[in-house]
Amino acid sequence: MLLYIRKSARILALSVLFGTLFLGHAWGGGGQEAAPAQASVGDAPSETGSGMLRLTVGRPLETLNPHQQAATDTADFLNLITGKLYRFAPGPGGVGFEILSELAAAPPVPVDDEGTVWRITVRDDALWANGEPITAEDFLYSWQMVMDPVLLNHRANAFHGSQVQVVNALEYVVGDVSWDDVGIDLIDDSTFEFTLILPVTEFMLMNFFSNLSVSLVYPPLYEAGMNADRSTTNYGTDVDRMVSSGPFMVDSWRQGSEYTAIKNPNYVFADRIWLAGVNNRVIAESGTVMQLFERGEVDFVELSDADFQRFREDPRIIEVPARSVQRIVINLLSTDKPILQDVRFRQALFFATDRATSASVSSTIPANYIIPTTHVMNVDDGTLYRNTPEARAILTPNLGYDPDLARELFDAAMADAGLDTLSLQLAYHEGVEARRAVSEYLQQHWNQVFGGRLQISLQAVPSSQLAARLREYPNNNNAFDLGWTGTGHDDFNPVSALAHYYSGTARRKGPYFSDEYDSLYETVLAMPIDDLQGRLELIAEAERVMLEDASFVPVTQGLGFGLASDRVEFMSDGWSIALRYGWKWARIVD
Amino acid sequence: MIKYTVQRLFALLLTLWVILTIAFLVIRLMPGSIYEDTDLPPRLLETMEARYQLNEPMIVQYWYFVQNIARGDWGTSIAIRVSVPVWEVLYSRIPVSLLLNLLSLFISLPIGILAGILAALFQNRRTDHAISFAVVLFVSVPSFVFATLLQYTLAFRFGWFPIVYSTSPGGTPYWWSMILPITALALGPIARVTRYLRGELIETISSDFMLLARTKGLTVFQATVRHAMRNSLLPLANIIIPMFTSILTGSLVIERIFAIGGVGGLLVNSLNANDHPLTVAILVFYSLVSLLTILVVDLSYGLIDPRVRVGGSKNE
Repeated sequence: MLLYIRKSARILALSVLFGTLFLGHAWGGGGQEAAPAQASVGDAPSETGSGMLRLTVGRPLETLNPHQQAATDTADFLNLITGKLYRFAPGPGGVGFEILSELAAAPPVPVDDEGTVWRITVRDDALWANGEPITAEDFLYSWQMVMDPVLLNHRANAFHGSQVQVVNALEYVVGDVSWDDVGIDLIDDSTFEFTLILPVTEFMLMNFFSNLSVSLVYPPLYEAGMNADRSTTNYGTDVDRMVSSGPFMVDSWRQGSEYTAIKNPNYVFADRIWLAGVNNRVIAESGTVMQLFERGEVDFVELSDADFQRFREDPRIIEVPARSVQRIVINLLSTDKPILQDVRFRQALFFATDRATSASVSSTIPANYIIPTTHVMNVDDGTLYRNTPEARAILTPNLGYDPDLARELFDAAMADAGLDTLSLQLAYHEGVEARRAVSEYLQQHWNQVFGGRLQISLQAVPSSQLAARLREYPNNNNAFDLGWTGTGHDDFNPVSALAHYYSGTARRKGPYFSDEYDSLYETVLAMPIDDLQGRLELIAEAERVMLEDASFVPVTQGLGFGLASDRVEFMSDGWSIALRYGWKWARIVD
Repeated sequence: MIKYTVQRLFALLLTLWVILTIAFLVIRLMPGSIYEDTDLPPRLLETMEARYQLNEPMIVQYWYFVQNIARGDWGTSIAIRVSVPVWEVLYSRIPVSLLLNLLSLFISLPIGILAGILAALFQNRRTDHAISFAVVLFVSVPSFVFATLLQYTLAFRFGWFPIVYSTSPGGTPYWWSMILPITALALGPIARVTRYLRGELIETISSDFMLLARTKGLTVFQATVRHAMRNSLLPLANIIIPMFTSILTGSLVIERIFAIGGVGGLLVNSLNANDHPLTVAILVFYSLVSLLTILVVDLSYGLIDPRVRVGGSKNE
């Protein structure tokens, strides 16, 4: 019980922390352009900045082309060097955040009342790192290329997200319509008009255009790198095959081992960038990173469970909630184990899961929900979805742990199936310590709850292959029994957390079919964007439908811990949803 | 000898082709897609997968694969270094791995030979026992354990060496940062050379011609170096070349520990990222190195000992 209270208090504390960040945020006058803020600490930054931030990454840089990036480490680096229409920045005095009109001249302007037609004007004073002016044509070229039906970039779905969907964007990528039919028009030298399928708010659009996928590429080099049939370009495959447009520019890229960006003096908000540069060293071994950090050779380390125990009292610790809920997918299509199709059996697993202990053994927080605590329902007042009465109302008491009810449901399902005992295999992510720990705990705990009648065998599987196995159901009904999953979403749009279970999504996180759920999802997407209450009720209802169906057993929400060196001074309050660590705004205080 | 060489080369190419086919099939049959984005609409996903013929039957995919390789097109990396030809990706990583492995081999030979001679000369005495103990330790404990220990003690605790490999090629800091990974990699080969040479020498030392050499007035050391070593070094040549392959495989983990951007980490990353063209290229590279090693060993047998030449005339 004490454990439960402690975990609940942790969730509450996290919620309050995020809430505070939003309550304190500044919008630059309710959606008006935020003027470049004065530095809040000490003197103004110099033209070249001062101090190199030394970070480590687990995987080498894959590309400098924002149309092709996939890995988080690569995206983090590209976010430093690539210009966007809008960018999140620390709020005045380091409290909360604001959205800068980085390469846009001002926030988007609505053209219609529904929120489906918007105009954005591009700045006339922005420059590439090479000194050339950034024009609206550059943006238009970048967007046409990211969606090009021949190039078929990794990010070809950039303009077909869960909420911001440009008219005919998808049809253009698959070759059904021409570029002229796409809902992006340059109506004068510097103003775009976007026609969207679904209504959006100003914030949603600014958030969308802060994404890397819809950021700039340098047209002359992109074109120069095209092959004969224009099916690929070598843009961004090396330092001299791209031009930066963001707060930093690429300085060096040593294949497989190191890459560095230095301050871009031509950046629009260069007077807010303190760092001289950011160095990323590729080090896959976490123990090696820890040694380097302790020797003062790198400025940040993500703590393993063991290291967290060593440093838990250290005031420099930064708590980072995972943006997804770790859940066990139940294969309800299994013909080998037809009992998995029985909703009573699935609910039995849900209620037999002791989430407090599961969280305790994995240094995470318990989760009896699908949409994580990080999702914001109302960006104006910072209300988190999980803190709303509607979201609270669908949660089962005691973190969803009810062993008596679990046994009752289990016995009924087993009796109908004519089974005395049952063996299931639980696949978990190889190399993820927290997942292994919880799997081992549940293996013995479920066995205990069900009186030895449920035997769980564990299988460690590489992450990509586990994800593929969960998605194999269209071709193989028996690819798995139980398997872990968890995906991040757009934190400012709780609807995005529902997209993975919608039948219109290609690669869902496991077999889940519900007409009721699909209908709720489609309705919430299409409803007026300013009807917050209506949207909230539908989102909560969709989550309830999914929880009751128990095709997924939510167990924990991850919690990470980082440690930054004393030489790093953040311009924001540690980690936040909008800014993450906010490295680009930090400064070095050697 | 020419006929023998041609036969061995043909066998090498055939083996390489079988390996290539197996690698293609295994990698294409592995679960996982190159497009892990879960939000892709079904139509877009189909279009994108069609680009790499992933929607075709396996035999058709294999035919495309064969055609491309016949044209010298091994494809481009699709995840690790997007849009870069796979061999270009490999070329950028091979030099550092090769340097690491060759240096380890070159260092292990003189040390191993010296230790082997000492152990044989002082057979069943303290020196021999000490060397034999070290040999057992170095052979039985994997190189990554030594790497971790060396890194923790000499680099982290004492600060005598850098914790990781220096990314700036050339200069003292660079070579200094290579010492620990090379040492960790060389310990195993040193032990193997020592053990092999000790066994060979002990057998040779007890032979009749060594007794004759001693009766002619040579000291044990002189007789060993001048006569016994000649006989023992020839068979040693045949274990040196395969040792290179062994070190190359061992360096997969060493590269990870010391953050060396070589080929080792590339294989693991490409497998995890479902970068199929790159994975096939790396497997072919490793297979080619192994097959060439075997070829060199086979040919060297013939050079070292004419009796084992295959296809040679009886008069040779």
